[in-house]
Amino acid sequence: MSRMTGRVGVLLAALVGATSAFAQDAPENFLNRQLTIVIPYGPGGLTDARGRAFQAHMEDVIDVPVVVQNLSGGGALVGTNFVYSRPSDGTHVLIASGSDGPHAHSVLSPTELGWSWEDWTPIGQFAMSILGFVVSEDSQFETLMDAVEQVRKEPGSVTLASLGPGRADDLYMLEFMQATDTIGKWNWVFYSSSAAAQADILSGDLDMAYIGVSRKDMIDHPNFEVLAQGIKPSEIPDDWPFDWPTVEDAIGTELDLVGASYATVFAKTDTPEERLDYLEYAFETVANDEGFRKARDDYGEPALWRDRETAQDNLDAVHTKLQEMKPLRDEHVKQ
Amino acid sequence: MYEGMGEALVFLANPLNLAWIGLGTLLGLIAGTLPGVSGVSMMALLLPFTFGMPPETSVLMLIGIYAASTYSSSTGGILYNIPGGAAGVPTTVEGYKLALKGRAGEALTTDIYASFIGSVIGFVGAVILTPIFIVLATQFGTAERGLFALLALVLVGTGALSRADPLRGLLAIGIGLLVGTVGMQPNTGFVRFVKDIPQLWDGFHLVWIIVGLYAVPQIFRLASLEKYFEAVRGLDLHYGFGVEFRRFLGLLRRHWGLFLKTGILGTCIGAIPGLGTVAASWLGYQEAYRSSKTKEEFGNGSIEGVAGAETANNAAVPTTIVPLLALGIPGSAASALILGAFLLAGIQPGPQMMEVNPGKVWTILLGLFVTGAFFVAFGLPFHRIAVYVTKVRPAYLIPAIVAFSAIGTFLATGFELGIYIALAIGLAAVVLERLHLPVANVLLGAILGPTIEKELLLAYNIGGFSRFLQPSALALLLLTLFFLVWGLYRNLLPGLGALRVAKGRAA
Repeated sequence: MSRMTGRVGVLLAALVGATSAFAQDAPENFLNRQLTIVIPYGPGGLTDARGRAFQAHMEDVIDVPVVVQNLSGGGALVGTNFVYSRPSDGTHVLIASGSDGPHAHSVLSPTELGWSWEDWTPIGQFAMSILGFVVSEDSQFETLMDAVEQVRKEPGSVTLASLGPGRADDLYMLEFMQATDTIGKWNWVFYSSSAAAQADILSGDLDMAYIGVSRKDMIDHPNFEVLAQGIKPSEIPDDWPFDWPTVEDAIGTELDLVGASYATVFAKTDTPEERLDYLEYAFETVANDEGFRKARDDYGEPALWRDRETAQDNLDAVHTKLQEMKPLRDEHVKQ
Repeated sequence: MYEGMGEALVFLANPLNLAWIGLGTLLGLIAGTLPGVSGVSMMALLLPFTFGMPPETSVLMLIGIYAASTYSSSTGGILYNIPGGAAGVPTTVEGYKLALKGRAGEALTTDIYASFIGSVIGFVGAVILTPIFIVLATQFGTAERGLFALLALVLVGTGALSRADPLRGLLAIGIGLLVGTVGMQPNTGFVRFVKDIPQLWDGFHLVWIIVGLYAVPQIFRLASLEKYFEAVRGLDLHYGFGVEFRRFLGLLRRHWGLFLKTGILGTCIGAIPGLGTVAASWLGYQEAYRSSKTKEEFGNGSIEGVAGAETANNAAVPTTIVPLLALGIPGSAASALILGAFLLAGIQPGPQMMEVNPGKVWTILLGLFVTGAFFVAFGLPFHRIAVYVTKVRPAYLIPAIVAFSAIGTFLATGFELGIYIALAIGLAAVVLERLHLPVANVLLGAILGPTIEKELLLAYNIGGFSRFLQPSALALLLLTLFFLVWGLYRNLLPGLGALRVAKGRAA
């Protein structure tokens, strides 16, 4: 055997070795027709944009069509029920935020559900659903504690809006109020969207709102000031573009729920393990793809990836805390 | 202020960019014409395909779909009595009656040119009045939005829509208000009537109601009125561009004031977040009725009604984007999709946009104008063919309506329960029609009722009764009360007089 042939042989062997090593890294693709990403809201919102961002990049990874299916209704419960009604074969996944995933519905739903939190498992978490305390640029409050002090001094004098009612956001607010000893002292009202609350901050109806701020257009927005962002200080990524104080820092107290909200991909727990592995691999690959990250960054929502285990720990903890706090919600939010 | 306009004109002069706007317009035209397939659904479907495009192009294509679907939401209403969206309902009331008289071509031509005139007025209004609209948008809070919606309900409900039979008209609005109470009360989260059916927690979807109220009874009518359609088949439906255009010019000469008034009205209403093209359409129709010298034609096929509604709702299209451009606040699902496309394009809407990206703002506003021109260019040949829909045999038309309605109803929410609900609403609509209760009034109540309830209750929660005593809210409240009392007095007095006469005779 000539030296040249020997080199080619070594090269081929290395290539085969590398390929087989790669094949061992990537779990076997079980998808032979299509993957359906169920968005439990109608077209046009943040959750829809997240699902469609995956759709645009995922087909290159999994080699089958990716379909985004919008199923609105019931505050995301209809889409969740739909995914649960599908066979546990991993062909249907659900995208939800920290406020309206199965972990939250299983605690807060006003109706009986045919499933429990144990029937669901996260595939991974890919974005932070950052909410923040927002005021108008000419607000009398320069810090979050200014507003807290005001309601302590004069209960009912500050109108505060949050998203809801009936969502996990009710409990985020109650946790914040409990920590600042201001339960029942705010003029607390509910809005169905961040945009509607923003409009009423400008109209002067609202003094403050706890709404979505994780779009870059909120940075230096001339009409709004973000007094604090709901993110845990220990979980702020290195390249995080928002430098507002965290709620925990602003009030000087550690919180469990505020700041624990991540956009998550869910599947059913009884999906075969190797399929869950493949889905995790597929979503993680896309979430770490440069084009996807740039698109998400351009949209104003930085991409990240938290694996199944981390996501499961996060959601289990949130679920337990929601259960603990539900009686408080039932007492203070009359439905 | 006009900085960046040159850049925008150069961008729009590029044939490729024009082609994308043209494609958006064409898709919007189709989406608006088919019952239940909304412009928003079409925009969402196409959004992933815009990722590789130049940013302004993708925004323009989406805006083309949005604007054209609003323009064409009345086309199906004129042709087969099924509007493509809520903004097309007032035109449906008059346009379909005109079509049955063999005047479909006239109604469609008026629809298309009135839409264009409206879009021009809206465009000019958006350009000149944007600073005022920003103030208007920031002054209208919960109480004002709720009271404005109530004022619209009172004006239209006691005016044009209840002209023939005020008691039945008001009763139908009441039924609509009841329909609007189904589902989760947004201020409290309390689920009314349907606690065990999460699909209905958001209430009856507007598409289900439109398909139920219009498509289902129409299917019954088509199936049972074969003789009637033989008569329609006898009508001459020749559509001549020149003849119809000259006819429209005559209408414009006679009623130029109506076009101007309703255009300005629509322009102003569009700038109020949350009201948009639907309120503009109804109030434009009401203004046409109020100022008409031939009020008896309303409900029987009034071309003025078509002109007023279409001018107003299309004038509102450019200004519905003003809160998004000027404040960075998306006031509707369509605006949210456009915002998404903006952000993907690296453009951040808001007060700074005119300073940072004046060229892009002008590109969008001028793009809307171009969409209006494209709509005329595509719409006229489309309508020339479309008038013959009124001559299609029911045996072919019924399955087509059933198929498109079912698809549109399913697409609206993604679950089949919507189809059954639409069918149930449709059966109820057949009964309502038998009782001579106007279904347009039911729709008006179902659309405005939830907005009125949500906003007024929110205003009360925020500031108690004193919130309604702030100057702008108080003015709207007094106007509403005045028009309510006046409308009831004017409408019900003749009936009470007749009742007294009847009692006198009986005695």
